[in-house]
Amino acid sequence: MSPKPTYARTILNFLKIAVIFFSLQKAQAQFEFFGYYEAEIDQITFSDIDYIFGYNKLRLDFTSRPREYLFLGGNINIQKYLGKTSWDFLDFLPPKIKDEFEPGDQLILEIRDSLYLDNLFLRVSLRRLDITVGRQPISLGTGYAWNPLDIFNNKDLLDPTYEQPGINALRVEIALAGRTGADIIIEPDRNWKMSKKMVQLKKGIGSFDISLNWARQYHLYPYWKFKDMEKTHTLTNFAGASLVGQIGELGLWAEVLRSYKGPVDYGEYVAGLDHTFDNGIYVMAEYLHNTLGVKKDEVGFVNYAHFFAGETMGILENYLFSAAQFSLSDFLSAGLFGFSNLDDGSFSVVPQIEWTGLENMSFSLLLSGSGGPKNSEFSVQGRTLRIRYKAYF
Amino acid sequence: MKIVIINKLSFVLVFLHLVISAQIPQGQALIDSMTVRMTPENSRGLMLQTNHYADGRKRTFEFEMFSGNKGEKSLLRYIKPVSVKGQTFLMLNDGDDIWTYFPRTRRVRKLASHAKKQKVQGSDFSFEDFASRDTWEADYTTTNRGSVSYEGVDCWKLEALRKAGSEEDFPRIILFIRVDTFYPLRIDYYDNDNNNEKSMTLNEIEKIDGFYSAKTIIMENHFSGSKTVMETKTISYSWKPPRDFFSERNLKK
Repeated sequence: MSPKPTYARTILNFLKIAVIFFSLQKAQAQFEFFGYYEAEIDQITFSDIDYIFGYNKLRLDFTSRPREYLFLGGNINIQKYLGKTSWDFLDFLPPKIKDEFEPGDQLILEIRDSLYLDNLFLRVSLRRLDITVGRQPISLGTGYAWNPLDIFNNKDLLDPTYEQPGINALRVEIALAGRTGADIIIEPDRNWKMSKKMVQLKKGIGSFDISLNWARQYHLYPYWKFKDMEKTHTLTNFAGASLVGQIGELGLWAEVLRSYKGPVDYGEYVAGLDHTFDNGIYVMAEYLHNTLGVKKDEVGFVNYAHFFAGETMGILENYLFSAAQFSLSDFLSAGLFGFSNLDDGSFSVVPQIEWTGLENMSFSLLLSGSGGPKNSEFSVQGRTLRIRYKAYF
Repeated sequence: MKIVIINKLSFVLVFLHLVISAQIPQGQALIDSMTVRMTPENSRGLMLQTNHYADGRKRTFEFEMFSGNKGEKSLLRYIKPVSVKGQTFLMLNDGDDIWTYFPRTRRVRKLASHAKKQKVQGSDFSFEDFASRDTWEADYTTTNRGSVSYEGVDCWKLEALRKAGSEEDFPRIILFIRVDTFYPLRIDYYDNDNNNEKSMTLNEIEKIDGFYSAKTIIMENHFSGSKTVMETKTISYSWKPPRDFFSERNLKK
């Protein structure tokens, strides 16, 4: 979460951005500007209490190609929140987990207005090499709802395709013969050892795309206790792979990431199928098996904390995401998706519609309802109504 | 040069066929000639796509289109409107393999071949319409129904009937191709109940880089009442794709 911008910080940010633009204009770079305005309002109801929150967001993209082999891209985001902006993390926990705390305990999370340079990167394209330096969007893996291979980002199950914040990285993509390539990504940290590294080898075989991955990062294991906040970061090695292709009329994909030589070796496995019927209805399902998750009777606060910190893909071990999408008219599309925890039997069902009747604008409405046994993961999430409006310029 | 030779060769073959058989040319020979005319080795163009919806509204898109290896490979990069700017589609193996690229997330997603029947940006063209797969001989038995006048132009009227076992969507297709150039002017697609589901008309035909080319192609869906007009702003058939142009790497540029 970005810190609340004071006037001084806001002015400083504008100055930084102005200096960048001025420098580039001096270099006679031609810029293209575009972006969108997005407004969202949400109402959630849980434990018979309803909350309203939302935001207004402006994203301004800029790109320039001063030379055939040079590309500069970036975007600035300004986000101003409304409604409830202070949340007690404990409100989102099942009663059994909340019992680990004393009455009156709170874990407050403040959401603050932000103005930040989300991405700013330079890509140099040589004959068989693309080198991208700077804060850049990175998206890895073949999964839809979960991407174990993407150690740089975390996805939101309610909105898995939403853009991710930029990653400070050096990325080198090497095109080898045919549909073969190598990809090296380094996200620098305070020293080389702490920096995240990933190497990906990609190969197209027939109608399949296959990748082999290796990664190393400092990873937070779920050993820590909340009260004394002891965290255990451990240098972890990962080996992974992915594939995407089809068998007959079914599209299929799979992704796996396994740690090795760590104190607790674990694996995250994703497999999915999809199909589009002749009438245009698209259906898909994706399964996640996460050995870092715990059994349903062993779950405690530490597992929730670990999950919300983005260190594991699920609290328990087995999850299913499924979706159906279809067009109701030329400008109205509908979708129904849902996700469930296969271990504790809890689930969320999420119908949504999107209207695009005006050019460069979209309006979407999403509802979600959840259910399941008491103390289960999704059963405490209540109901959500989300309205989102987006206008591109 | 290769294309020109093939073009001339196909004319000679059809001419010889006419001389030898001393009757109207057979459907398949005409289809072969038409196919040669419609599939240059490579092409690069700037297209304007206007979707006319059934309720009278319309929406215009602009995209760059690149095609290689006689349409076996193609790449579509949308420029306008801003909501889809930078969205790119790469199709290989005659549209059997499709990748999409979303610039804001820099995400590439491979689509299974069932997606090729999906409409491209809400138009009446599907992904497979952009792939110039020549499956006429394998999938259809074509018969020449004789010469007719179509909008004042002498044409051969061909009837193509789907062969047993073929997975093509339309069981019957009627084509009107010019007698002089073998270039099609209209193609009608019929459904399983023999209803004319959609029609493609090719207009403003010009010779560019040695190839006849329709500057405007209209696909009309008679069931939904919608139509899509595809206008060629610029086109080149002499363009040669750089090495590995049709690749995931180029998709992201």
